[in-house]
Amino acid sequence: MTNQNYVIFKGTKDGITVIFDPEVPFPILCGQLERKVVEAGKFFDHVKTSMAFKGREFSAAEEEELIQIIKKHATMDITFVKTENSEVRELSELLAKEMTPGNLTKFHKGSLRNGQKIEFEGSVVVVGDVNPGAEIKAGGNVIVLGQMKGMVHAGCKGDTSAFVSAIFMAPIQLRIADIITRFPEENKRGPKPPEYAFVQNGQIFVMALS
Amino acid sequence: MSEVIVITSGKGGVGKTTTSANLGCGLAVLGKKVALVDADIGLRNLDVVMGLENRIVYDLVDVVEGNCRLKQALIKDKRYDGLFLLPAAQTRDKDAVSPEQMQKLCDDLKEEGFDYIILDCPAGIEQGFKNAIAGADRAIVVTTPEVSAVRDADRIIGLLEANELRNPVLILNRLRIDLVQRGEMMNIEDVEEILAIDILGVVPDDESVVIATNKGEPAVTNNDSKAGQAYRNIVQRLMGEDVPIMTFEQAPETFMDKLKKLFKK
Repeated sequence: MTNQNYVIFKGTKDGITVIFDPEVPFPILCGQLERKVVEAGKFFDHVKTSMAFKGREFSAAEEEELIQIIKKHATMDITFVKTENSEVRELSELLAKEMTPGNLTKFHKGSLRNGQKIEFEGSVVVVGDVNPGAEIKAGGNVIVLGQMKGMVHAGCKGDTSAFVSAIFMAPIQLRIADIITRFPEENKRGPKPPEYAFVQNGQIFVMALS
Repeated sequence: MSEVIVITSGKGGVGKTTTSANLGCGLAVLGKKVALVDADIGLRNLDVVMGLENRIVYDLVDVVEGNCRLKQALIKDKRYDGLFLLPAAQTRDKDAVSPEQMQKLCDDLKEEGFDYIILDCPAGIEQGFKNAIAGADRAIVVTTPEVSAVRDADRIIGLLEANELRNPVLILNRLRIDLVQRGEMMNIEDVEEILAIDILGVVPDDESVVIATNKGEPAVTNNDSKAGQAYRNIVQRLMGEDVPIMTFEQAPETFMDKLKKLFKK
């Protein structure tokens, strides 16, 4: 019984494909996978590869268990795991993400004057200027098609991947997630190209859009 | 056709009252029937600037509360035909009237046959401001070329637009030509760029305005004053005429001018 091959490793040009028997119980698969990885020994060491699981469907927990078994016995660097049902899952996850308010965008036509404020859990696009004293607080990204001279807070719920972009960037204060920065005076003078600000290594960077 | 115009600024001390007085007089000189209404209850000044302080018997709050008829409270300016002042109460505060009462007052003034009803708005964005803009058909925003005044003007324009007073126009007051030429003061274009509204007029900084205001005689009637000329232009623009904005560029000082100055000292 145990001599039968329930787990087959196959090298393809995209990486390693592991084909699993669709019938046998999951623990037996695990046992055989573990044995095969140990047998292969140093063959998988220091390999950087993507891995595809084929032959049967796994739950997320099962997938994780399989990956842990491989990692335990080989110093393989698995960059990406592709499973039978992965495409379906990714799409449904993406759709669910689209549907949450965090992924909606609010469009504001016209300028924001001193004392006016936009607060929104998704992203915000302003078609106009944002004057000093005006505030934008967005859960997502902020794009200003005009002069950004007020206070802007992107990713205000802690999303460090949020960015701020403006035709003319000269905010009084710029915040992304929980990072706060004063915009340098010398960068507030024009003419200059449109810019965008993002977080890298816990710091806000501003770059020209070219 | 009568029109209620509110003169407002947000920041104090930029020249709302002086502008109200000058526009009122200017319109009256051109034969219009004008009511100047001081909406700054508790801190009235318009009567002083107009030199009519000693003639106040009833005020705006008396009219609103029904202690007198509207006609009794209107003070006729004897120098200019058709110019009337409705003074504010000094011993009350802004809560003495409501926006609805102000609206009714404006309607009553319109029925009196005034061509223009000019409301002098108090500084700030609270009750007094809300009262003053309640009955207005259009708004004039006054600012000086200072960052703080322009910021407040921006705030006020936002509030006016939120209160359905669309397309307010701007008067840029107390422009110092010499400072602008040295690049040390915002110029007309800078202010226009930030506020993005039409400019009704630009009034240069002029000591004759201060002198006239202290005497209770608005500068608009002074033919020698640059500011007076600027106010007369604004009045004409208010009446729908197309008058170009004055240019204030001074010729650069010649060597002889400098020499003369040196000897004067």
